[in-house]
Amino acid sequence: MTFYVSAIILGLGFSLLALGIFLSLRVFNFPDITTDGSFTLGGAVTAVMLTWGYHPLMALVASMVFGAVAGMCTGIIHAKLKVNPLLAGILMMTALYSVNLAIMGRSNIPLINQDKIFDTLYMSEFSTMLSFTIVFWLLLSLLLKTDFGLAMRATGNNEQMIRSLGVNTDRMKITGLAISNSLTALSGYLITQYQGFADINMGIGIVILGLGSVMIGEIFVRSSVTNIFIRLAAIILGSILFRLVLAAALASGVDAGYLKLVVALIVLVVVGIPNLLKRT
Amino acid sequence: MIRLEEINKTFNKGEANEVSALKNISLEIKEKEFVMLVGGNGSGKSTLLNVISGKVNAGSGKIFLDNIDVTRFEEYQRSKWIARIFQDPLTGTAPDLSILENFRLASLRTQKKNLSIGTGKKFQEFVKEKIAVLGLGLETRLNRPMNSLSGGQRQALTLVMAIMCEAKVILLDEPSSALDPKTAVLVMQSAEKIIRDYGLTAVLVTHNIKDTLSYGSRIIQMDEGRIMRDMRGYEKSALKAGEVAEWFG
Ligand SMILES: Nc1ncnc2c1ncn2[C@@H]1O[C@H](COP(=O)(O)OP(=O)(O)OP(=O)(O)O)[C@@H](O)[C@H]1O
Ligand SMILES: [Mg+2]
Repeated sequence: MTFYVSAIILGLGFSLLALGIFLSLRVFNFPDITTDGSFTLGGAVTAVMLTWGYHPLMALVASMVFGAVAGMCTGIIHAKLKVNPLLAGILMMTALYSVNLAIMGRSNIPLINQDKIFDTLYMSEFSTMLSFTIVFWLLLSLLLKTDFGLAMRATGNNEQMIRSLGVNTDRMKITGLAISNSLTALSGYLITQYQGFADINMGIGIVILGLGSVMIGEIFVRSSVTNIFIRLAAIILGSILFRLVLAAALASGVDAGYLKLVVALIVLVVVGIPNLLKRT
Repeated sequence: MIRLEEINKTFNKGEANEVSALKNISLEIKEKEFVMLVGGNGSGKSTLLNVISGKVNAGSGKIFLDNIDVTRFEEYQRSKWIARIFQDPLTGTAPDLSILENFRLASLRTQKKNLSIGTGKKFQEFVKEKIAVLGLGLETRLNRPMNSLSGGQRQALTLVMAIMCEAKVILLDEPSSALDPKTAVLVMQSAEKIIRDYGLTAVLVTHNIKDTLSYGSRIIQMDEGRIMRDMRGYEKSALKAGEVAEWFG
């Protein structure tokens, strides 16, 4: 049972990453794989700051700011230097590996006696994760409903149109990627404290978790639903379900070494089956 | 309202596929003029509109809007003056956003898009009123995504969106040629009504000879990047369909 509770907690922790991916992939139509690097970046900054005795809330702000800067860099590389989205993301992800290693000073930092966000808030791990998820779900939904948010959504949806409406789309993309990657770093911040360590490799392949969650979530809402609160809630649900399925796979005896294979298969099924059904 | 001085535009300069799309074009369009722009395929009509709107940079020459030199202005900076409608009804709207959200963006046009929510009750009523003018019954479907509408419906809405702001110039590039004849008439009539009611300065590209005679206060014919004919007022109203057809040989 605790096994599944832990899966739900992880699902909530990773749902922030999934919201970040939704922002880059669905709102901006930008397949951003800076994610792998900015997730670890969030973890690295958190682990180092907590070890140095900084307050967990300070670490929260710092990791989100660092994540935002990473996203801005990807955005600038793409928008100003005209590098294609995938390559811009790969470049940043690669560069971030070294940056993360430099921040951490070694490849693994355990957090054992340090005060964590759960201690600061006097809340259980579950309620902390749930609170963070709810707060950022509300904030992101509201943001996307504002005039600024509408302009963001239109940037990825019909760039020509929104440019002719007087919006500087380069700046929009840079801002959007900053927000997206700060959410990813926030996810790294939470997961690091939950698992009790930061590792230089903790972000490898993590982007697929976000993509998978977005796609699983989209199974639950029809495309005619324009209500952004519902769309984002579905993605959070997708993230939790993803984790539950993984937990079930492990519980049924799948070797942990095959976990990434299982992840890839789940995403393949979610992406592939609807296409298969559509064709017939 | 719009003044072009010796505009030249060459694509792929210095290469084997060099095209001289606009050749030394000078042109003045007065306020509230409604220009029908005609010419064969590749004669430079779309390029001319693109140069005015700033989507394409003129190679040389100057562009004035409202007597302000906008030659060096980016497209988004010129959008303060200019609204555009394209042949493809999909270009003017964001497909995944709702009708209401599309109108919100259109209504903001030049203003800053800040962190307030502007799609409340009052705005909804305002939009409903505007859309009702079309008589398509779309005012009851404000929360539907744009991609759930037909091309003609989207094009008609795009026209209404164009007048949600204070843009004084509207550039229409074959706005009705992707639509079935009945919807095409509806879109052209809506366009004329809107241009007249709001006193806009308009340039409309079309290949439909009947439309060039029924609409507009001035007709300009382009050929190979040059202006061949330019008629207005009485001269234009005296034109016959046969004459215009002859221009195209
Ligand atoms: N981006 C571009 N790159 C290269 N050549 C271009 C470009 N845009 C237009 N041209 C060329 O410039 C010339 C004028 O094209 P334009 O699109 O302005 O013609 P048009 O009058 O709008 O034609 P149509 O009636 O077919 O729409 C054509 O020869 C075209 O091939
Ligand atoms: Mg054209």
